[in-house]
Amino acid sequence: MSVRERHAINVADVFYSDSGNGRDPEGVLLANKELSAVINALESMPEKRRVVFLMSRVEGLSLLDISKRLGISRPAVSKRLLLALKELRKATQRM
Amino acid sequence: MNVRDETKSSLPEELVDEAMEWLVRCSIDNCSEVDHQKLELWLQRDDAHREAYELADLTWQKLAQLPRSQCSPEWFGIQPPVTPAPDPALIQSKKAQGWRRPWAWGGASAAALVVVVWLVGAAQIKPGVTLYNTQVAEIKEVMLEDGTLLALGAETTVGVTYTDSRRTVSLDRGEVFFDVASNPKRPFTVSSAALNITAVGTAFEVSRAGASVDVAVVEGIVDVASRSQTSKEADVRLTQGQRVKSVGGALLSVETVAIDAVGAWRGGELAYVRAPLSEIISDADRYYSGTIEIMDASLSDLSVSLILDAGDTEGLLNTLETVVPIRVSRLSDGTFLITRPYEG
Repeated sequence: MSVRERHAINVADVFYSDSGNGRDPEGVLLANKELSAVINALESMPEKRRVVFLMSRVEGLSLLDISKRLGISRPAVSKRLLLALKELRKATQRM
Repeated sequence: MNVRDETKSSLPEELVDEAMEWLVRCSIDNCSEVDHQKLELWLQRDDAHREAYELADLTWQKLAQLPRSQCSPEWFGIQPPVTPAPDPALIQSKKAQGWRRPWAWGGASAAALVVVVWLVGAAQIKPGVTLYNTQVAEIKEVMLEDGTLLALGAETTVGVTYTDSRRTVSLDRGEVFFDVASNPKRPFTVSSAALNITAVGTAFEVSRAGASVDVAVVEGIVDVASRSQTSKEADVRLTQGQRVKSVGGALLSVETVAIDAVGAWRGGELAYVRAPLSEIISDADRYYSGTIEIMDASLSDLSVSLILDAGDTEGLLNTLETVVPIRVSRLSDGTFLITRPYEG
């Protein structure tokens, strides 16, 4: 399919992808305000936590790989990731 | 734009926290069969549990859209970034300067130009640091006073610090191909995120996106050392045809790389060997004045090998569409969205 065809795309469908046949969570966009909140939260987050989060979510590494690369136990990786995730959710929630 | 906020809810915080624990244990990590069954039971026990889990999952999905380019180097607490030069006089575009191959000017004039920039730069930014910037879709070559050649890719910022005893270049973002003039008495080091990369008379490329740094060697030997406190990996020595990637200071395994592919972007080409789609899009984005977004996080890791024309964003996306299962849509404001193809 060619890009030049300029598909008629309904922006609302991209943001509200739960219309019709069930929700597709991967289609949900991080709104600009939320993105800023996430960036602010990451800035103030303890480094150990942040590194694990970035490796997992941004770089897509498995928790096992992260534990090998950082030389820490897998439960320690899980714990740091969980703390980061809780913090980031709270940050976007305060929006 | 009115985006409904699904991460806000009336669910008790403790329940969402509990759901997040399950998510990390069983969705993000691989949990045991027993744990899986426990999760199923927990989800079935209460609709609120299921709702909390969906909320946790939604948060995780949203966070996948955090672009690498937004990940500040300071997040690793290692190296403050050099402030990008606000003064357009510092930005020597090839066209504006009538700049061809800088070495054709001869050493003296190249050195003179560097001095001018250094004086202007020193007054405004940091003593001794010369900044070089490129804009979207701009490729620039810079000859330093010692004959070392830097080729800067698009949206790249480097700071050059030369003293009598050492030559240091900090790469804050983007990609640079180095052709280093050998001088063992004045070691040449590139610092980028959590890495120190040391070369003696060699040609190599360093590219950086957020905390992720890639080093590839075309000629000679390059030592790559991590400055990160969090890494226990050994430092590595790269030789011709080798590359290594680092994430937050942790070095991944050394891979072989086709020498022709390294720095191919200098000729306006982007070359990839088994690269994730997210990396290609991140690069293409730097050569495009609008935005290119991957809408479906599961597409980010699609593996792609090909050579693309950096300047032709539409053609580049067209090519990608034919080699990997994606669909590219263009919005009226010039934004490109990458989604899964239509079913059937």
